[in-house]
Amino acid sequence: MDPSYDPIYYLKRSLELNPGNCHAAHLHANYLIGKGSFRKAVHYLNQFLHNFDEQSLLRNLLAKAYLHLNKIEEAEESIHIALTHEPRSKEILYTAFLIKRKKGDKFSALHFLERILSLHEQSSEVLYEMAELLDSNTELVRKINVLDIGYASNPGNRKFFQKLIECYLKYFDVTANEDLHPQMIRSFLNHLDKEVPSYFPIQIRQKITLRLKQIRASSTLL
Amino acid sequence: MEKEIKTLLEKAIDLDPNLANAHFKLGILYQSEKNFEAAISCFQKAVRLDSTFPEAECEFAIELQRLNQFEEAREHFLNALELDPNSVKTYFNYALLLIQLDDIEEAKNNFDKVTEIDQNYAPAYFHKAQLLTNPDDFEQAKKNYETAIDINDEYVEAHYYLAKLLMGGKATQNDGSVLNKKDLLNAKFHLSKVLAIDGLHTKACYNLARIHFEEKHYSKAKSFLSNALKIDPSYSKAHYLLGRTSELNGDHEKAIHHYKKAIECHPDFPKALFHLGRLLFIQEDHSNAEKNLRLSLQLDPTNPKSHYYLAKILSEDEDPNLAKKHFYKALELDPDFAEAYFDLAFHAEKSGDANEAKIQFQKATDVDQNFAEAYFNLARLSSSPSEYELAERNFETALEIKTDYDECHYFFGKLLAKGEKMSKDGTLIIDPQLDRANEQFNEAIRINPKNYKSHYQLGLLLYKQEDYLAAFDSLQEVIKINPKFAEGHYQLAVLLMDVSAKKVLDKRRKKNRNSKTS
Repeated sequence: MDPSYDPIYYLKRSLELNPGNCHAAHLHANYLIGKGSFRKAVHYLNQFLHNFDEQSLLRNLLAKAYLHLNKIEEAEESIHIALTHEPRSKEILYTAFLIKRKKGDKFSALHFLERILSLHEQSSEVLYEMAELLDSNTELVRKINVLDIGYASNPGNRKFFQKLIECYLKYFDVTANEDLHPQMIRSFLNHLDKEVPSYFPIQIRQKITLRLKQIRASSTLL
Repeated sequence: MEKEIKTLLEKAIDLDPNLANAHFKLGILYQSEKNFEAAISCFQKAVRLDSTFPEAECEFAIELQRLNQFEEAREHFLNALELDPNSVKTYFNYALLLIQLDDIEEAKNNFDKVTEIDQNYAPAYFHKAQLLTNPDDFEQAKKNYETAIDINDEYVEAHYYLAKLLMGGKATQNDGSVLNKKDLLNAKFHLSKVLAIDGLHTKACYNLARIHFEEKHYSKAKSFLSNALKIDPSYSKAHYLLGRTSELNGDHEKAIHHYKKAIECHPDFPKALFHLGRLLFIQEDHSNAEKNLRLSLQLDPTNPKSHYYLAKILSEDEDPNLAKKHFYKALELDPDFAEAYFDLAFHAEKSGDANEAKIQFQKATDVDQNFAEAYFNLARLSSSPSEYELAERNFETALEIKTDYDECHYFFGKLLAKGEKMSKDGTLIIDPQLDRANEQFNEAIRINPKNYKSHYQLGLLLYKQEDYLAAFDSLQEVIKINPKFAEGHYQLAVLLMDVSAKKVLDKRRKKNRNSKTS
């Protein structure tokens, strides 16, 4: 590549001239992670953090790199340091969530997502991740609520809508008729007051039609 | 011949010791031989022997005056005048005595008496002129010197002092207002005349040099000063002025040499000490500069510039108060000293007191309304969003005064690009004026194409405006000018990693490659 158009050439030169520039270091580590050189990224970041001041964003990147290498313990250690420096950073909290999720610590993972939501604007990405975490049948109502909020903030998002409707269907499947919450039924109907979107898979569409018929036929359910 | 006369007079006195006239004449002979002790004894005898001998009374008074016996001298001058009220010599010498007795008005009257009696008595005009030192008497003094010269064209001192009077030129009008009657051309004429009569007149050489120095004819000034120093190598004023001349000619080493010489010849020379200190400060020899400036201040504590330069040296000290004290002293002595306000502001900024710095920059602009650098720095320090308008106004004023002020264009561009303002209700408004900022950065680059920081800021701005090609070119220029500017490389990397920018840049790259291939 013509060096005058090679970003890495400039990045390396910048770091040669000012090895302590944390922004350049961040960019470089990000680049290494982006191209899958996680070990190199870990080595570089550890060296940088050893030689220069503590930088929470770099710690975050280090945690991400460890996560890619499946070194959960090191990733946790790194994100812990990052969080002590910047406990309100969305990026760091999100990495912490990823680590906990990978570790299988659903409770902590949810906790980090909740922290993000309480500190930052409603992010559909975070809401989606949260919904994904709520995978047991007992959490179905909460999952529907989370997806509802996400869909309300981003009504054009088909992925969200499909997931939401699937959750409603699952809710109707796993809940006995007498235990069904009227509010859930009403909001399900509200979502589908027009025709069923055609981008839904055929199986889902059939299930929706069936469920709608069932609801409309049963006065007790309505 | 004189010896014979003296022998005859002594013989006559031997024969008749009461011959007053013989004693008087013998006294005159001793006087001409500079045997004043013998002369005074003769005159005393003459006066004792003949109480109606006005010439003897006068000479006796002159000799008493020489011995600083002023009251006795006055008594005998008055005796002489009583005996001979038309004696020019008596009036003249009595006037000289009155000067010594600090009775200037009476002295002037006696010189007038001399010229009344003898209109061609040049020394009387000259000495009277010397007494007319008040600016009110400028014209009269000038006339008296001129008359003395008219009577005696070879009167060196009259030429010299007339030149000095014309160099000063301090006069007043009838209404009391100050008038400058400086006439350097005529002053030069009279000083040249002095040198024509007495080629070894060092003061005339020096003063001619002073005039040429004032007229910025440094080589001529140098030549006269060299002459003066040839005649008198220990003439401190000439060394000093030669130092000034050398300094203005850019020869600092020579200037330092002559300032040192001037101080060596006359250690209590505050001006030479000051200029030596100032020059050493410029040469960054701060310890010697401080030493000389302090000595200068010991001799002349009222020189604001000595305090100013000392403050500038002390501003490097850990204790910021040391420099502050001298800055304040300089400003107390000269409240219109704009540079002192300006440097005090920098000192305050360096010691972390930005508010004080702003106050002092403001004062500098109050004193000198064309002080572009002060407006610029005031604007530079007004960095909070609530001061946006103030900063904008001051940047604009600085640029009105000094249009080719690249640093000012650069900082103004940064302010406009940032666009952080405060609304009236205190909320922060971000309103970057990118086009105006662009203009400022371009202007800074036009003035100083090597100012990589302006190229850098322009690059960032163009990137923000999504003009990726121009941004890339600007950032390329940055690292071309300063290949060691890490931020420039970093921003290029950021730009090239930006997907949108990459697309545009790749297109151009391909186009360039194709045109090369074809």
